[in-house]
Amino acid sequence: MNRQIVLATPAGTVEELRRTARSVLASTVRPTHWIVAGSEVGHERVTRARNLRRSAIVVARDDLPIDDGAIVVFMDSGTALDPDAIATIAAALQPGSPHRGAYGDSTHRAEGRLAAPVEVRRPQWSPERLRSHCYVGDLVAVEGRVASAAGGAAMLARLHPHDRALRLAEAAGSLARIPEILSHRHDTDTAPPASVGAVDAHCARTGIDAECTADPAVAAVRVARRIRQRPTISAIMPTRGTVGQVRGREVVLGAHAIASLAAADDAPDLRIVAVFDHDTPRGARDAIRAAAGRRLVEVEWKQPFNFAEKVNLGVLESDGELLLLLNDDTEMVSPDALDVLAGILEDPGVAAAGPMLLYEDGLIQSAGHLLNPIPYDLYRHCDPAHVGAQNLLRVQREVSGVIAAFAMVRRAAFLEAGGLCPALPLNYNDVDFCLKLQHLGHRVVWTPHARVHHFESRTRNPALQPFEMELLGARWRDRLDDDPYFNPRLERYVSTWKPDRFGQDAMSEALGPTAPIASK
Amino acid sequence: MPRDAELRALHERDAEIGRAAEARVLRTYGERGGAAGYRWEDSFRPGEQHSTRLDWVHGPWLRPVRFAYRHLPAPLRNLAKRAAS
Repeated sequence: MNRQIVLATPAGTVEELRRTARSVLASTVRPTHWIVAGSEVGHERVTRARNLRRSAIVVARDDLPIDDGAIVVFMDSGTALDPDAIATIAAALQPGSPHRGAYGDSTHRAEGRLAAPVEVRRPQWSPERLRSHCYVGDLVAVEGRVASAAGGAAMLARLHPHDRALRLAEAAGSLARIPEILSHRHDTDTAPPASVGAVDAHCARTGIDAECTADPAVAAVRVARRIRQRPTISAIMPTRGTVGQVRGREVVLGAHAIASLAAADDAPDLRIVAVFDHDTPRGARDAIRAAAGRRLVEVEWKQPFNFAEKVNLGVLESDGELLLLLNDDTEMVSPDALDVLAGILEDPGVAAAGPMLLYEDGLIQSAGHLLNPIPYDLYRHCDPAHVGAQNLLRVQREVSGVIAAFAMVRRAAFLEAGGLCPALPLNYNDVDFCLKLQHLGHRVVWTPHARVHHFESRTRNPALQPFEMELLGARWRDRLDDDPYFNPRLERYVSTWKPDRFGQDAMSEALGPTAPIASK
Repeated sequence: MPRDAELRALHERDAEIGRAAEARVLRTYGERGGAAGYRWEDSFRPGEQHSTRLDWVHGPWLRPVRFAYRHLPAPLRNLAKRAAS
């Protein structure tokens, strides 16, 4: 292979460098150069060792002239390259490929001496998640011109992995995910690292006006975008005036949902469009009118029940720049939920945002949709105290979909996507809608920083119909088979991010470091 | 209804995107597209989502197989183990 391949690592301990050197020498395609940034005399015990000197790999302490078309592989010292990693990366970053940078999966040493290594599988390119933590791992490979544009290989190698990944992503535009094990880490901590300073600097460089704060419990950064100009919001609430019990008290669910919205101090301009079925009882209508007051716009639905069409009609009767798709069996928990969701929509690439939905008993109802390969609600029935695999439940991130029970959508994007599909009157209309948004190039973001109760399916029958499955499969089979925000090597037909193997290790990995099973 | 024309425009746009998505699925999967082969029964069923049918080990059909395996002579058992791993 004539292409220049440069491995760039920071200086580490002699033991770490030796581990990396062993893997480099065992690689099926060896790098032509190895930059050990800021190496000191002690490290020359490794870098001047006979087997490295005889390998024809040029080892340097600092910058080398790097070709524009070269491949530069950044990783931490002490990380071992998989023998096939460089060949796999070179195949993914061939000249003419649409990608200018890539990352892949990795393994970590397990806690037990005899236990199999823990695999860390990663999703496809997810820029919102990268701002929250360094989910791409420490190994990122880019073209030489990208490394030069981002500040040079030696400088980048010395940075915190999160800082380095953000700078490389800015220069490359996006990074491709290679669903193969590319590196083996010696530490046991599988949680991605995060740096508030790196994210702050990234926001300053890219013009994102946001407040970045560290998560108090795990390594994650919360990026709260400031709302430049408060948009008008219309909440669209289809209802037939169902009466149900909430915490033992009988209430008109729609009125209860509106009361929780109205109690939020960030909703002064909120308009509520209630789409009433023609047989809605008078008492329920009165309760909803009383809860909404002058904010209410009443719309009559005189045809057979069709949730999607009721929402579409409500949107046409509204005028907000942002639409809050609202089920009548919800209750806002976070008082700033509307601000959080509207802040996410300050990103022009994001068309829809959804909160963490909780059941009445406090367990998770949905942490976003997961197509695995049929649609699931991620981490349903798990304790919201779980951080999830690789802190998944603590970070704002792109998802394939969010539940329309409480989702904020840009009005323009809603109309561009043709609204909710009327052929899906009950189930999957939100899954289909979010996939349409992504088909049009928009992103959908889920956030754990806003929480809402969803007393699910109190108002309708949740049973699936064969035609709903057929329609979803016919339109989106490719997305169902490979959810970009999941990984094809993970276990199918589960609603957690779980390795494709059995056992307690796999379950503790799925539930994350604070799961009771892991803390035993 | 007063909004009929606007609703029709939304439907047409939805159908247009649907046709483009279906064409892409057909290009990728040919006739094998659609929802065939998926186990849909789990989807969105409350209470059963984060469990899956892992427990084939304790299924009654495995009892005679396990009995036979455990009563094999050790060398044969080792051969079976080696072949399975």
